[in-house]
Amino acid sequence: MQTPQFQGIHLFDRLCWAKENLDGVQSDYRVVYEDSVDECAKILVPDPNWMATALQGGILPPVWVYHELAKDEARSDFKKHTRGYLLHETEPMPAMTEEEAIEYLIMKDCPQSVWRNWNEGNKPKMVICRKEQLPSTREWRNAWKITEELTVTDLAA
Amino acid sequence: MALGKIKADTLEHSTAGSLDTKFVVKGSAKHWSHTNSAGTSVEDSFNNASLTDTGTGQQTHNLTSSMSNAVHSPQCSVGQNYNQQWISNIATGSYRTNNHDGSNYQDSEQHPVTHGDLA
Repeated sequence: MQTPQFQGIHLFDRLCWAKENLDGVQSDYRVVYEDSVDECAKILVPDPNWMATALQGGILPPVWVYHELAKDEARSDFKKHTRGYLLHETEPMPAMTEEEAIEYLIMKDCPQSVWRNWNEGNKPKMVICRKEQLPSTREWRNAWKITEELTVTDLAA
Repeated sequence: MALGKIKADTLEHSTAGSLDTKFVVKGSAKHWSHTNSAGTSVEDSFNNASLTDTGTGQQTHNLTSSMSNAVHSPQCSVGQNYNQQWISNIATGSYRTNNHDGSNYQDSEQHPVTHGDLA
């Protein structure tokens, strides 16, 4: 199905179109990351309807738009977004592969402190894995950590 | 689907009176999702980019189309009868739902929804 020309159309309206016309895509990818030594590992789960929009193309804004909005929100005098038009006016992303969509989602929904230097330090701060590679039960969930035995070299291999 | 537009400021019923369309636009939910108990998958949703399994009983919901400000109005129901649920970490692009039994956080399927203005 051809995506309509969406540049200039409110992102929420595009999502309405996607919900009506695209089937959800359940990804098997999961992103495990640690953003605090005092907290357990967190697991990022892609939304199936979002994944469908990413694979379709022409709907989602470039990820830098979210970073610009995050900068605005981080200001001490932030009250409300005044540059929301970036979400709607910027040329949408073309169709992505599932792997490219996961990379986009990491840059959108994981803290920048994690993905900007994920491979610096004694062990990786972030790992992309398959759902079946996660522990099969929720036992001791709040103690889950990325294993110390996993090195950046392992990930590159 | 054609992207035709119908512009109207008011909807009028033949006998029940009229309604300003801004009530519909402003009053509709802007995000919802239905997650499984373990926080490991999203069953269905709207305007949801991803779910972060933040820990036992805690899920962070990440929006695709951001809210205008961080004082939107998230709510959440859960699948089991636990006695404490609350929302935290509200930002324009995400919020966290927490489920607790009074002693410990507990996993449960969660059904978050938020109202407010979009960016």
